[in-house]
Amino acid sequence: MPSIKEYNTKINSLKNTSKITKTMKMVSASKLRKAQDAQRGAKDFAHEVNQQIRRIAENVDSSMHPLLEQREEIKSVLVVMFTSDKGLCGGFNNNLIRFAERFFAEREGDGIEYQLAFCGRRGFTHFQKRATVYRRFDLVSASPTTHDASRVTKQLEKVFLDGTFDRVLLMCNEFVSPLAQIPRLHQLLPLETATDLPDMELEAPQATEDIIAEPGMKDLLGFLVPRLVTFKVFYALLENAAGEHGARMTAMDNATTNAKNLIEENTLLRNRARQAAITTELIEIISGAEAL
Amino acid sequence: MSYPIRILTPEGPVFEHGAVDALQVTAYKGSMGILTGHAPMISALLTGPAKITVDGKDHWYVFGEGTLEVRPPDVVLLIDFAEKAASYEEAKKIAAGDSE
Repeated sequence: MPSIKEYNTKINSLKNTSKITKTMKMVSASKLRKAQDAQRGAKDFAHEVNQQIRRIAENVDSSMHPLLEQREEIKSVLVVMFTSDKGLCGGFNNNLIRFAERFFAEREGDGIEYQLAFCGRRGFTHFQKRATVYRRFDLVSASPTTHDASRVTKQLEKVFLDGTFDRVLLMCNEFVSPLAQIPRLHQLLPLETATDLPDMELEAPQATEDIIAEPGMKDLLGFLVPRLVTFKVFYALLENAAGEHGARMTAMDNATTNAKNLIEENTLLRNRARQAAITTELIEIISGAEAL
Repeated sequence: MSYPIRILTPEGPVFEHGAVDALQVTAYKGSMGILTGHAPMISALLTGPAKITVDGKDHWYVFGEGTLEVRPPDVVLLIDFAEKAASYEEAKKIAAGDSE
């Protein structure tokens, strides 16, 4: 049986751990609130963007903008993975990594070359020796701005337009609640006019009346399409950030509870050990006295 | 005569009003005004000054790039940002500084 001193050391270190996890939980909670507000604001925006696209989609032909062009033969695909930069957030990154590995395993041998790009360090460190890494975007996943999004998007558009890749996919965690993040795969380029931004209550598209487009529909698309692509990337970044903080908050809450349970358990054991020591001492004294 | 308006940015809604008299924005080809009963339209907007008239009072803003959609009776603006300004001159100054 370990001595009382050993128990004390253990309990002290557990107390320190729980202090850290508790602090991390509180930090994450406040960051989560900010990230969630940003994500909620963007969700309203996404809803409107979706409806707008729905309405003009019928007037749109995929040949009207190079970013809408569906290539006949798909030779290479770029998958952009959104993970966090830091760890200690439960299964947040691992779920996505497992999702990605399943995705690649299913598609092995279909003659398409898959390459990976990363926003966030965690995904990169996992895949850097396992798959072809196209590139990695740094410092974008903690608190995303539209500026970061447009920087990433410009690169992605470039490799799509110059033919390096025939398709660009986004793989990210969808933020459902602080407890649940679901890995999802979206197509970014070529842009689908039936958008897949999250939305449940879309109005049915009205019969196409004559909508005035200013400037003409083609120029308007030239203006709208890159904006939509940037927004999609921005939205993925926001979901990722909100998910990261949510997952970390949950993970740290669990860690704090576990630490508390362990402290209780060890305190009980320590008290027992102390009592046992006292009893042994008493027995020794009594038997000593009897021997006299 | 008035109409409802909603202005949204990726950061969230910035302006919502049920009865706006008139709206003036910086469109692709220059300044553009929207009054009640406008035909359905989608227009690209550029960064520039904008004016919202409510109850005969003018409110100045700087709008970022985006779109304006007239979907009778609603008018919806999806723009990068919206910043309040005191006057047309100030709005113009902010817009000029931003597009540099």
